[in-house]
Amino acid sequence: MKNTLITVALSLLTAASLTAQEQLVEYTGDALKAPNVMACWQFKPGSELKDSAGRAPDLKLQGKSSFVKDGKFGGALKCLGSGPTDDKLQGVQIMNPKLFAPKTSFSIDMWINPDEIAATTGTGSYFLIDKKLYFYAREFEKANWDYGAWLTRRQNKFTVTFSLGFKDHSTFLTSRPFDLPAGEWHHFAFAYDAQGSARIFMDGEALATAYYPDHGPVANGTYILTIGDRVGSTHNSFPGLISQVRFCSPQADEYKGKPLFTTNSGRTVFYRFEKDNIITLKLFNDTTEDLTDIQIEYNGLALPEASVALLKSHESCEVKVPLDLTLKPGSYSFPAKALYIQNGKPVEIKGICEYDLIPRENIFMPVVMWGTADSEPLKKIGFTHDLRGMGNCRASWESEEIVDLTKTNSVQGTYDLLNKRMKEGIHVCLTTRPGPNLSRMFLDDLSLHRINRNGKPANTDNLDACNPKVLAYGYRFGKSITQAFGRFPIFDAALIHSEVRDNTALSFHDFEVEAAEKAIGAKIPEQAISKGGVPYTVLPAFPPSHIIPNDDLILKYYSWFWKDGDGWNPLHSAVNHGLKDGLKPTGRTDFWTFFDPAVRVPSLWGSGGDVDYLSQWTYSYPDAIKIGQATDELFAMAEGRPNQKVMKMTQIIWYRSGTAPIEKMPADESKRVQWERDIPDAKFITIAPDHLSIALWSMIARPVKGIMYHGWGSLMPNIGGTSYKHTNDATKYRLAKLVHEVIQPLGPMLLNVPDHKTDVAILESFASQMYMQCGSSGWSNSWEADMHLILQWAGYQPRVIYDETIRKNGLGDYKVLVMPNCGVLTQDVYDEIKAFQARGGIIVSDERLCPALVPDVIIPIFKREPEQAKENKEALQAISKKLREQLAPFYHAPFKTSNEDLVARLRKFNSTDYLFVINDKRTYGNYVGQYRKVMEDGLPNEGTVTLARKQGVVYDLTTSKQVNATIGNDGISIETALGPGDGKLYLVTASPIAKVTAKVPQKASRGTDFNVTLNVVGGNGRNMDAVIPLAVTIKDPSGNVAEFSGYHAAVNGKLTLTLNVAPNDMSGIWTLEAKELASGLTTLAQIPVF
Amino acid sequence: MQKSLIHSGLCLLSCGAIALAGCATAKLKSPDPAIRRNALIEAAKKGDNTNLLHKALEDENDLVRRTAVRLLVDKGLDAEEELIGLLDDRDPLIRRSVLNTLCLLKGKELSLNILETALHDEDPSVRLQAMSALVAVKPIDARRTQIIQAHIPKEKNQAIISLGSSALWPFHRDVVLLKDRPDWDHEVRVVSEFPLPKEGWKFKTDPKGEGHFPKFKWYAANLNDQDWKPIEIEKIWETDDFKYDGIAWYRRTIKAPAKPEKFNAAELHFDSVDECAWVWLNGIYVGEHNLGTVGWTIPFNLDVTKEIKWGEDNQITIRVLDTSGAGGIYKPVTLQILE
Repeated sequence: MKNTLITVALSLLTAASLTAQEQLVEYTGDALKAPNVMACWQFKPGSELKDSAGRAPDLKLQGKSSFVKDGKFGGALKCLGSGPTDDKLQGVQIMNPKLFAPKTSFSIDMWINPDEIAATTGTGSYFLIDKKLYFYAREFEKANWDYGAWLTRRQNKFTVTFSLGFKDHSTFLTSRPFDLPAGEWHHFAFAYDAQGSARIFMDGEALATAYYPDHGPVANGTYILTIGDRVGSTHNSFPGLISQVRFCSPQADEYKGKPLFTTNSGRTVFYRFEKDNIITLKLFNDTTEDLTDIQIEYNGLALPEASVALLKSHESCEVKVPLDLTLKPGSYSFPAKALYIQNGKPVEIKGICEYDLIPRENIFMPVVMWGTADSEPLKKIGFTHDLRGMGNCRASWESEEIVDLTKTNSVQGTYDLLNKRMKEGIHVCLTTRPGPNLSRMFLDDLSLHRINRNGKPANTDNLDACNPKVLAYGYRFGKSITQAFGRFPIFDAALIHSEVRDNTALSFHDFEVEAAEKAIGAKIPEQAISKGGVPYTVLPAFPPSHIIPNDDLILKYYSWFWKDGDGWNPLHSAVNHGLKDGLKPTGRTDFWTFFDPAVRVPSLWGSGGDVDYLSQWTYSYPDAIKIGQATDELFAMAEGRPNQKVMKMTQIIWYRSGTAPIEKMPADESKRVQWERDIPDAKFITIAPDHLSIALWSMIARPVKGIMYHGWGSLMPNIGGTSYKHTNDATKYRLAKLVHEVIQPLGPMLLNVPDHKTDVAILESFASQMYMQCGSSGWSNSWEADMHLILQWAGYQPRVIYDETIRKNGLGDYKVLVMPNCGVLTQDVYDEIKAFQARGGIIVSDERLCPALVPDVIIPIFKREPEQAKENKEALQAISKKLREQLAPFYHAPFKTSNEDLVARLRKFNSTDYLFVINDKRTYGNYVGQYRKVMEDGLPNEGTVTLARKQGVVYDLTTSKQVNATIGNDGISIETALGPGDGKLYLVTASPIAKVTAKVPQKASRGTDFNVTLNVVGGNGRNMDAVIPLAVTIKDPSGNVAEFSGYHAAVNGKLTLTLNVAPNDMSGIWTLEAKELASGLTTLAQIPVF
Repeated sequence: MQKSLIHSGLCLLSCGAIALAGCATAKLKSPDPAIRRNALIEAAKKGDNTNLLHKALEDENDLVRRTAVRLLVDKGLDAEEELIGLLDDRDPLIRRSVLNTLCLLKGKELSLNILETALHDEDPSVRLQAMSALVAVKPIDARRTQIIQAHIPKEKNQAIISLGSSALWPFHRDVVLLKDRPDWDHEVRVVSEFPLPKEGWKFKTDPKGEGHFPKFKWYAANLNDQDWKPIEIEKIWETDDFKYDGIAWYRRTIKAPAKPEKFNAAELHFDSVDECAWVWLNGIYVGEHNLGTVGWTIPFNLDVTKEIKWGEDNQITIRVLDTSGAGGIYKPVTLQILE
């Protein structure tokens, strides 16, 4: 427990905090002669290597470093930064390792000024000072000597770490993130009191502090003091200037500990009417003496619970202040004070406690940036979430207990982030990944890695998640995080793991063998060697009919393995339950979890465990509507868990190899297109804008509950430190337009509209996959995926089903069953299919269909040619057309389009249809089209869409207008015209929308709840039997837009909002304006507020 | 009295069946194919429908005819004659379905003439079914061997070639590794390892799967492989610009180390081959790794204790099959000396 931290530093008020700031001067005269100043290097012209205090030997200048005259006080050390191609020592060194090896307390302070390289590019660490070498934890002695301090740049922010060696372990104190712009001088100080207290100061303010109980002086070692770079091994010099480096031992007085009064720790931003209305004031005794008679006051009030008689060294006391969250949104503050007796003298620290109240949020469709980015550009595009890591739970693995992350040194940085994000309205999705973290931490521990039948490592990259210790850790991991940060409602989501099952493998530890044998009731079949199943061709007694018994042992084993046996699904569940349990004290139920890519596995229920949402990323090339195939697979997977729902991600990045192979790029630069000239070695480029649009429409044409994107570096220009390159600037504008014009206004409606119950199913058979090694595995580039494309282009609405879906639901809902690569079936599935045929159901298959079935249509397996995107699409569309012709007399789809490139899909709410139409007409462009792998440019397209219903009124939800439609024998026909890559959403209602009405109170009192109800009324005088999107604007008497303004959905034609005008808000006439976004009708109401 | 009632009931049922059949016959004349198809299906639920099915086989709509065939198939061996008659139907789906059914119903009793004829079908799915049936009966007798051997050179479909070739694969070796020997209960230790060189290999594709034929013998130790293309192992063959799926051969001569003073076995260890491999050392077949498509990530060992020539040049030949995606000896190969 030596490393246990007691507390961390924040934005702090101290009784004498100006002292450190007063030292931000050039040291001269007596300041240099103080007995504790062991050296002060000011790099003054002519005496750059000299110690101004006259005590240390001369420095040695290393590598490409130099001295310049434009330092903070005249002279400076200049380093250039290091990299893999320039891994040479820089900086200056004191060549005697016995010097600057402190036996007691010490402090080091310096001025630094980063250059452009340090401040704007890369993700890495820059050493300011080093006498430690090891900047990471290792248990051997030479990794735990003396001290080091380095900056780390991540996401345009810096943190600084101060590490101390104690012979058998090291401590690492890391600050919260801060800005460090290029060309600006800032002062940093690192101090250790040789009694367990380490501190970091920036510009005279405490930036971080930690207390390590039972720690004495650092252990002295044999590395030499290095300024501006790492002492050895790989080098990480600080790119910029360093001025006036002072080393004091004992530490300089200004860096000694003081009582710290914190008025803004924890939460400082709140939604109106939140249950959690507590802000915390804290006094931390960062001295070695006791404080007595402590009293904390706020607003001039001294409550009894705020009185403490004694506060021992390194202890803290706090007061929880309840806030009035009924007030109107805005910034608020109150005065606070800490009073105490120190050394017999009364001391008072005054402060201001500031907090913000923000409006409650409307219901929205999440648009998640699967990655980390700055708030401003995220908001500009319309993202609602990004991904963040929070806290390091390694201690929980070691202690086997829940860890209190609020006691770690990074907590304040996380608090700051979450408060900031609440104000900005960008939600935070945690990225957890305890599994891969464990795998990396314990590479050599075979019990945590998979082994083959011979006991040898099966795949060292993949954690053996089946290990019971791992499951228990997963739960603790989740709970530790939400216990620490669950108070922040802006932190409302978590990615549990990602891409962990691609590298899974069969494993044969005793605990796995035992679990498998228990599950299948027999020994593990000896043929089970690969996770991909057993080719039936190697089994001599395989039934010629390819119909296997329901209790087939091999299949039972693989079902166990893919459901539970490889451990990942149970581990996802454990982390999920940990996260949720950690939230119990808050009463929150809004927190959601997800796993992706959830269908990168065989077609068997269970992927993702108990997470709330399954998601999957898909690369849009060559045909972007294939996004729909992966989405449909997610729905098939989610059917296995009650209440599990689906989100979907489109990759912003395109693999160069799949779109514009680097090896095919013209050698002659003049023949390259512009992005190839700019970034010829780009490995990942930007998705083309028309593809992005088609993909987005393909996602929302299905009842997904959120959409996601990954590849910030390809979306935005000038994002350093990533192999994702920004090669198409139009994409980000297209995404922003789609989010602002489609997702935001229609999102609340889309969340309430179920899918159409289709009667065309496409079977992805687990039994076939295990015996014939087929299946899409979520990559959407297999024959199964192409068959799905054929169906989409044919104007059918296929639903992906699994063997288990058939077992659970039968095939009673379907008229057409499509069976690609369905060569092996279990008896029960076969029986259901035979019964389906006996009822008249139609089977469409390929030549691999299991021999016991006679299909109605065979579509020979189509093999794509690698550089013929156009021909491939044409060939598949020709198959679509032929299929449609063959089935026309027997099967009538609910819609049809006049050309294959108008791809339609239907969702339905009661009597109302939501008909999506996507323009998939494309051609080769001059972005990547020259390589013939992708047709990336959309073309305008027009035609007729016919919906099989006898009557209805049609509205275009993308323009908020009623559109003309004709009624014929086939149904309602709409003439449509779409721009390149565009989509449309038609609302088809039984009766026309006649009006929008608003029911508001005759008067309302401030500080009191009141309801306003909006009704969208049909021509029959009743509320619409539909979900209608609404834009609502609520204004105060001065015209300021108020809470709950924005987009909503009127479910069954009705929306009720409960408003509350704050006691400190304006009285007078408030207005409410609502516009329904189907036909554009509006209503305006006034609410007198007293 | 009771008997007479039962008799009357049967008559009524029979009349009903006749009426239904009559109704179904009428529906079969409907201009709407869906009505015609439904008529078949409904009639099948009610009872005897053979006549209807015969009529439906003359239908102009393929799906109606196929439905009729399916319903005939459901009759099993009772419909054997009708099914055999459909083996030369104009619709390849019907030919394939019927052949499938006959194979399932008759098993190895199915006439080889039927299979031989089907091997000449223009539709590959019919030929594939015929080949599957030919190779399904083990051991493959002389007549079947003859049919398969005669067909492979004429065949263009890779799946059919591969199926036939695999069935006639003439090499066999029971690979028993030291660790698996029943008489061996000591711990097996790798005492030394000699990685095979990455460079210097020769490579040739074998799209017809003929390289092992006696007239080629690409595994022979003294084969002149000068005109083969150079290639490296430990990477997929696509890296060396062989954009190819199918069978290909690797050859190289390696210098073996001096004979160890003490050892119990020598094995070739393959970290992985994408996806199947057959191996010869000095012209002697030493075994295979043939797990189908799942085998591409799975390491394997082959015993060469008897075949290796210590301290001398040894010729190694590896035949690799890759059915899709990347292929080749993409991971290291090592000679392991075991104790």
